[in-house]
Amino acid sequence: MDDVFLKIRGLKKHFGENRVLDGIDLDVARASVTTIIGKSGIGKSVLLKCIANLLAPDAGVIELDGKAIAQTRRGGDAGVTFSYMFQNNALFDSMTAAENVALPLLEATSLNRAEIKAQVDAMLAHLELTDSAARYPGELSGGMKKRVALARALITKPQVVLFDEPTTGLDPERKFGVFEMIADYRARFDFTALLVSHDIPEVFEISDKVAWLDEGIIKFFGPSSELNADAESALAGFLNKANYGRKSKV
Amino acid sequence: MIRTLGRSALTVVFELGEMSLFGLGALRGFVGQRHRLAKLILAIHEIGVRCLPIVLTVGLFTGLVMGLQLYYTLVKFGAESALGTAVALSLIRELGPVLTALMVVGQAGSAMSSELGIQRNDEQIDALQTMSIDPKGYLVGPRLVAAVLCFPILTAIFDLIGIFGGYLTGSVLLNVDAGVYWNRVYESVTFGDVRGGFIKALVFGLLTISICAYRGFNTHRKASFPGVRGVSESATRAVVWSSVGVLAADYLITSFLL
Repeated sequence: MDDVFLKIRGLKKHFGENRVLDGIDLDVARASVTTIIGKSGIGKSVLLKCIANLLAPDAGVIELDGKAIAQTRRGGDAGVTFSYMFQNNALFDSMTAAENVALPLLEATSLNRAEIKAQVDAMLAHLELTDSAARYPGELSGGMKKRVALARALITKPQVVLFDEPTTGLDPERKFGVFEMIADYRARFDFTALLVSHDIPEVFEISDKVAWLDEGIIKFFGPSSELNADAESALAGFLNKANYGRKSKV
Repeated sequence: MIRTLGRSALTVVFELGEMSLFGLGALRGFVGQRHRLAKLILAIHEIGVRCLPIVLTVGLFTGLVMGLQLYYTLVKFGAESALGTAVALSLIRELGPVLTALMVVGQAGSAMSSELGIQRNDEQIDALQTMSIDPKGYLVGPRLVAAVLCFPILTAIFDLIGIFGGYLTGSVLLNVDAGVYWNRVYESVTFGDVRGGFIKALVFGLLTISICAYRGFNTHRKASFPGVRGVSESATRAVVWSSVGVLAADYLITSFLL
């Protein structure tokens, strides 16, 4: 039995009449990579935003290491525990790469400037961004922006990192690069990773578990090797459309 | 029709309430921020320093035009010696605070609303929240405090340059005695007039910057369109609402002060 670190039970989120999440149950093991797959607009990003406290769920419980995360207010104390890597990176374009990475330490911790500089320099060196430290996001390539966003997400040493479609807009070579980077840094920094991705089957290479979100609930949860849905099922249909059929046992 | 009117009135009241809470939340959030002075200096540069040229220009031309108009009105009654009184009181009581607020809205308010709207659409505001940084306190709080500090100062500068403009047309161009002009300014302006102008400037500062920040910050909820059109709509509405708000608040404050 895996050591469950992030536990979600009965999570619901409605937007008007639209029941986006209708009772999500999910167990994410400590120091693992779990990938959420599903059709566009099905609620994968909503699920991540509920976990990150950016959206308040209508019902349900989210527990981290056995303790419930307060969902009564948006933002706040979940931030240091969780980091979020946004689909479009959400970097501040009037700040340099180094300033972007330093921001959470500068504004949300009591570290002094020398300590912050040391940590930022080390993180930039880890992610091979030292030469780009003084450059603005607009001057960086797509892959480098992803690395800066990852550096900013990791600088607070979070326990869980949420990745919202981290490979959007990248060519196949760079997609593999980003997945390798996530797997590599997950091992080095020992965080738990929760990904939303459409890159099937490439993302399965780094995923310990896969969760298929459909009609507001998790309909499949397990290792990607067990994605042997029968040919008539909705999961098989989704995977075939996602071009997985040719490369899997389905 | 009555139902529609009632619904519109309720919407306005609801928006005003929400905006007031937004402003209060931003000020409260600013108190909890680190590096407050640095943020405040940046905001003062944005609202105060960058608006100074336009305030000086508009103030000078307003004074010049008032000097001309009031001179030709007063001269009909043989009262051109009262030019200093008319220019100074009009500027200090009414035109100074109102026109300064409108200039700052046009220069800094629209830019602020657009910037916040883009940051919202680009998920930068969500990113702040995930970093445990209060976005309202970080992005809006310093600008509200800067508005409280800058609006009265900009208004005072507008008043002074406007009175000087009135002197240029009245005394230099139309030969009203300079000593009489300045003496009338000195004698007619009371502390109550200056205080009233400053109260207006303070209220306009808080009101306009709250409206502009609120519209930009809530672009995703308030605009009719997503993306760039939504940002442009937010900026337009911020300017229109702020301008109407300034004139409505001016009427209310004046009716209390007189």
